[in-house]
Amino acid sequence: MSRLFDHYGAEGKGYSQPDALLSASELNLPSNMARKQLPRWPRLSEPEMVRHYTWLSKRNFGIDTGFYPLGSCTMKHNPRVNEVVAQLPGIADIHPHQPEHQLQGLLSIYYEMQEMLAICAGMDAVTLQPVAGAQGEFTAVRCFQEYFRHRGEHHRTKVIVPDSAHGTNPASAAMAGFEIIEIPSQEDGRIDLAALRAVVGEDTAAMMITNPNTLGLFEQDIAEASSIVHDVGGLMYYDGANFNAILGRTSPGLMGFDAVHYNLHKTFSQPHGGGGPGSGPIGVKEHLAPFLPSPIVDRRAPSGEEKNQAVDEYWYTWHTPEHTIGKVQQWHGNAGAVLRCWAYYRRYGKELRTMSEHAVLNANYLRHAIHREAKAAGVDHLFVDGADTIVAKHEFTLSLGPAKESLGISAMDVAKGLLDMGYMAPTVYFPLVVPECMMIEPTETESKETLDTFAKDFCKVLQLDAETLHNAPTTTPVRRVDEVYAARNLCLRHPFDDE
Amino acid sequence: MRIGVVVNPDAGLGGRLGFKGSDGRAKEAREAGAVDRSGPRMQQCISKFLDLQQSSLNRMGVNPTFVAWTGRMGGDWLDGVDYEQRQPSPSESTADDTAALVLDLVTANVDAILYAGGDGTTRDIVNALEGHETPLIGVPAGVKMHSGCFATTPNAAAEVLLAFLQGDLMVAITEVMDLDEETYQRGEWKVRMYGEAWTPSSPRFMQGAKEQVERASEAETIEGLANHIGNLIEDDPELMVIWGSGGTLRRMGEHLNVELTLLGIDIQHKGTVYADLNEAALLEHLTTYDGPRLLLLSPMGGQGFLIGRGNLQLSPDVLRAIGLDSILGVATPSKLLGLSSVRIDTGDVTLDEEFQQRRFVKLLQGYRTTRVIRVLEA
Repeated sequence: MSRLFDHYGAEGKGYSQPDALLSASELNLPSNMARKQLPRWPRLSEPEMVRHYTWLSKRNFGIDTGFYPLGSCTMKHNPRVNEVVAQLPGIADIHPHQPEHQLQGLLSIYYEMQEMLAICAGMDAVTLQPVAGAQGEFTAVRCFQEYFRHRGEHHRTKVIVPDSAHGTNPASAAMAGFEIIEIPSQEDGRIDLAALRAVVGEDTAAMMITNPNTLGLFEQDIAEASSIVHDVGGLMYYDGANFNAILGRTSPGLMGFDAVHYNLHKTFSQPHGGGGPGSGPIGVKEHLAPFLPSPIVDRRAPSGEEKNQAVDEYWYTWHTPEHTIGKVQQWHGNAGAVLRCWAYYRRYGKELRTMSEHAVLNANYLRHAIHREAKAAGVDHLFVDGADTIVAKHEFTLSLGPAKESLGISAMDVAKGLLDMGYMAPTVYFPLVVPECMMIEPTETESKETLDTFAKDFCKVLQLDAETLHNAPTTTPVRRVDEVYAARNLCLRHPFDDE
Repeated sequence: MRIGVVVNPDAGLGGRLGFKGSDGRAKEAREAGAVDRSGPRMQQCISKFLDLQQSSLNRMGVNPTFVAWTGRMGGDWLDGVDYEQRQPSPSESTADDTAALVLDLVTANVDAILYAGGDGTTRDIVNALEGHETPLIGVPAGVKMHSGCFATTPNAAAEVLLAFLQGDLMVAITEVMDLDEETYQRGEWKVRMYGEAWTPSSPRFMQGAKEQVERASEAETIEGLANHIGNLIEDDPELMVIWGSGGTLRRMGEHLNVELTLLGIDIQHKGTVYADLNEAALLEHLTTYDGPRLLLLSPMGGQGFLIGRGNLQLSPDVLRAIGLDSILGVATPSKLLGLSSVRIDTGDVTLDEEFQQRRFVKLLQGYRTTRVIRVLEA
């Protein structure tokens, strides 16, 4: 394997750094913070550098390479028109410190995006600041906290989450200082209203929930759950991770939610973060709007000189909500992510409802295709549905429990076998309530042919013997990783041969 | 790694003859036609382990050294294993011999003990260990197997052993349970806690949606649970905490500098601990004080009894004096694994019904994290 840092060529090769503006003594750095020796940067020429990264990209697997049914992650295609918009020079070259009168175009896009997101979720106000779904969750529960403090309800310290919730829900609430109460799901994976009733009270601050839930099931009792929580004075939080399934059909607002976060990369489109720039705006109902982080974009009629600089009949300004919780991100969130998503939303408009319907249709079709092919191949006894339902939403779960029990083949083995077939594996071992779980989400951008082929290949993997599958994958650049070893023996810097 | 092997060759003999256990009745049982059960079960476990060791599931290439006595308490059942021989087993064995074997294995520095037997054998081993935290992996072979260190089958025990050797399992505290001989004399079948043992049980890594997450160790979890209770007492110094029995609660007490009994019920109130109280003493405390109180209970054994295993002091009257709203279960994630409901058997039908009408009880599972869990219908 070629390693960039091993290319420690001759002095003078590669890119020359300009001289430093200030010398070390002029910088006045404390001596304990100064480098003891020069860093060992690789010395590479431009073609060597290009080859290195091209080589790396060929070892990568992404939605642009093949089918990526990673459940819960909504790995859909990113239309390239998004990139065109985001890279328009007038947008891409903006500096966040530029004054308002130079940013009217961008601010109008921000305003429109706030409005569009509010409309589709049935909310009244939106902030585009949070840069990830989990940060959106944290921002929203902080708004809840300020809301209760404002009402003098300091005793509301508990946040309720179902046991099938995304792990970030309890984590966000705990970070804001709330206590967590977990409630068990019913056997069919849906919310247990009796358990909810048993835990709500005057100490209830909020309930956090996704709908459809992590099993891909629509929570039919959601309105009832909302009124149980509202009746004791609590608030409802909608985790937007699965919003792709219901867009345009219903909305969190209609279900009684007070706040929601949007995963722009899942429900709309923008490349998935992987630690890079993401975006997790939140929307809230009117009673929570005064607590949103600052700034959000507002508009008014232009006056005086503004009339000449306005891009339409309004003047857009940064606005600080009255009782704001403060800033949650430097500058104005990740503008690039917002712009890509705005381009996508503008491209589809009301057709987003069709998009969402296709996501649900594809998931249901794939589920039935897998059962159909499994029957034909005689491997239908090796897995069962993770949830007992006729119709799933945008994703579905299978339990490989029977394969594990009869043949010693685990969900992880099947996932690794799928890698050998040229697919990204579905999500495994989540949600935790399904044993040997495999969670599959094809998204709306895949064709029927892709789904049919995947269903056949999935069954081919199940026909392999246990020993072969324990050793899979064999065709990938890296063979099966010992995840336990990797998690326990972290290697965080390049080990040089002479060290 | 070094794995000690203990076989109680007489365990399980009484089962088919309807004895409640085999202690002291081995000869009688053999004469009545009982055949060896414990040894062959160990044999099966070892044979499965050797298969697993050769398979690709042994990804770390583990190759433990087995340590055993020769003869019927060990070596006879270790077919094809080149084990470290200590000394010969006696031709007839008693609980004292099991204890001697365990002590010998401790001297030989084993990292875990794989044993075949039942509840009685487990108690003998735990008594002999006297606080040594050597993890136990039980091959189920007795008449009664209530203790938490038993695997479900001999093959499962082999899988647990391999996972433990590869470092995939963390050790956790579990209860050693057995029939309550006192109540059995009165014709009742009640199981109670006799001690605690360490056993590999809890997966070290949880597979999350996108990554492997290392879980907090048992010790860290217990510290979190203790801090939670500590905060409650800080917030309300009047709070009377009634500590139930069990290793989890006792360890929490250690973090709070409160010395608790393992098997008794203790009260901690305004800085004083009243240890090992009987029913009358508990009622005395509860009726002379009408401020806030909190009963902490840990679910016992595999069946998840929150109330009704052992603590006769926690009578229906005591539970009523505490109040159903003031009961909080405490469970570590390793306990919660596979526990979808709890059982309550107060000995009072009306009170049991009151619990069942509520349908749920609260369990503290970490610092500031509670879970509600169903009460199983009787």
